[in-house]
Amino acid sequence: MTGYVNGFFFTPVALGRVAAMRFLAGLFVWIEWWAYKPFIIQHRFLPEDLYQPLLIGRVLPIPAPNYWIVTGTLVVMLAAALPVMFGYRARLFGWILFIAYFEWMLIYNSYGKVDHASFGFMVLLLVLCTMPEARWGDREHVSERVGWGFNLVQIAVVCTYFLSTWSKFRYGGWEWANSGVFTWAIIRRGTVFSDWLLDFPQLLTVAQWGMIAFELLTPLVLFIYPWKRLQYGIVAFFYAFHVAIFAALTISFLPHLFAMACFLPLERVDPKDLARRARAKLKGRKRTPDGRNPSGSDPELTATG
Amino acid sequence: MPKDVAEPPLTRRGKLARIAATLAMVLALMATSLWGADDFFPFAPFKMYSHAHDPDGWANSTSLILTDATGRSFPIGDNDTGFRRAELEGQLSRFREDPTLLALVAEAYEDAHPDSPEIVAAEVRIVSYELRDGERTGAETVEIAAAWTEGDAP
Repeated sequence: MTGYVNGFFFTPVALGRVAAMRFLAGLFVWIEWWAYKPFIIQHRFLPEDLYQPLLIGRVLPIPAPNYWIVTGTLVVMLAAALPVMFGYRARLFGWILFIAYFEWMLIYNSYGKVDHASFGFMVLLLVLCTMPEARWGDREHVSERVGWGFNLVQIAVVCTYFLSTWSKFRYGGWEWANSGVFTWAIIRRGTVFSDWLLDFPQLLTVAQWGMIAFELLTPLVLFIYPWKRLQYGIVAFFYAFHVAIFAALTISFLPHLFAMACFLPLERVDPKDLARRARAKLKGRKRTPDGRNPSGSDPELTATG
Repeated sequence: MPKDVAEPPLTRRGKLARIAATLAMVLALMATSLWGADDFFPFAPFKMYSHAHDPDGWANSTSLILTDATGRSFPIGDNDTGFRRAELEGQLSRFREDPTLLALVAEAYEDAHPDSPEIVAAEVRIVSYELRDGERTGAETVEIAAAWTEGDAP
């Protein structure tokens, strides 16, 4: 039992995963502001009267956003993300990135609507600041501290699912699963993949029950940690769930998906090695130069742990 | 063979402190899920789509419609002013109370679109669709929750 608990929190993780997660975190920051949540930067045009500071914005001396605060936060955030992505002084720039991103989230959420998809991602940015320098593909050096950090992110990710069920019971009542919530969602945000479902309300009710069951079961992915293959399978299922939700409602919880990647053995990915192998293969076989390497293109999905 | 990084192994105290930190995060998330409000960001409640919707009730869809000096009326999307539909809904009671707040949204639109004609009017329109057993009956109502025209004092 002690061994299980110790392993739950402190299974050592290879440093290669730190390098990969830093790259992904910075990449997401670069994608989010223009492609995923472009309205955040548009908040620079909003008058102060529409700003509704959150508790933390009232307790800490954080000024109301204006044109230059929003623009400046974005510039600092993007500038700090680059060295983090490529592992240059990743801790120092990691802290700058974390602080700038947190302010960016306050700008995002202080106008009357709070979204909760980024909790895991913010935890990821925070724990990355505490992790050592790392390079891609390093499977040799392992650290318990890194293991604990990623475990914290994983718990945050799972809480996002598990506790959202609590919110459904709290705000929607026990009747949530029998209500018309999916119909309502599809009317508001439906796509060609989901509009037809409006004609089958019973199916939507079944889907609502399925959603509750799924979210309540998500903590299992943490507890079965000794069985890595099973864990990767469950995480793959989570990703599939989000693809389905995206097709139906164009809601993607993208920061959550990036944070969730720390479940995967990304230390197996070594871009330099992949490039080398791809080059060798091209030279050796003179095949169509599509640069793909079947054994290495998706190592995290073929991993055995 | 995997090697440990050049760092001292975690002491018993180091481990206990880390476990305590993890538990603190989980407890804070749980507590704010049960008793908290959005105000406690970055903590929970994680309430995406948590409200129940009566399958025999009404489903509504809010939109913000601007009219420019040429007389053209158009609904605006989340990226036009940065003031999203969900934010409008979050502050709807303020807009009902004081429709001249719409002037601020119009102003933000003009700032974001300096080459477009001036905005002279704005309204918040809520369309409600009747549901029966979760299916739309085809009946719908339109409510103008707030309206503002240029000249109303902001």
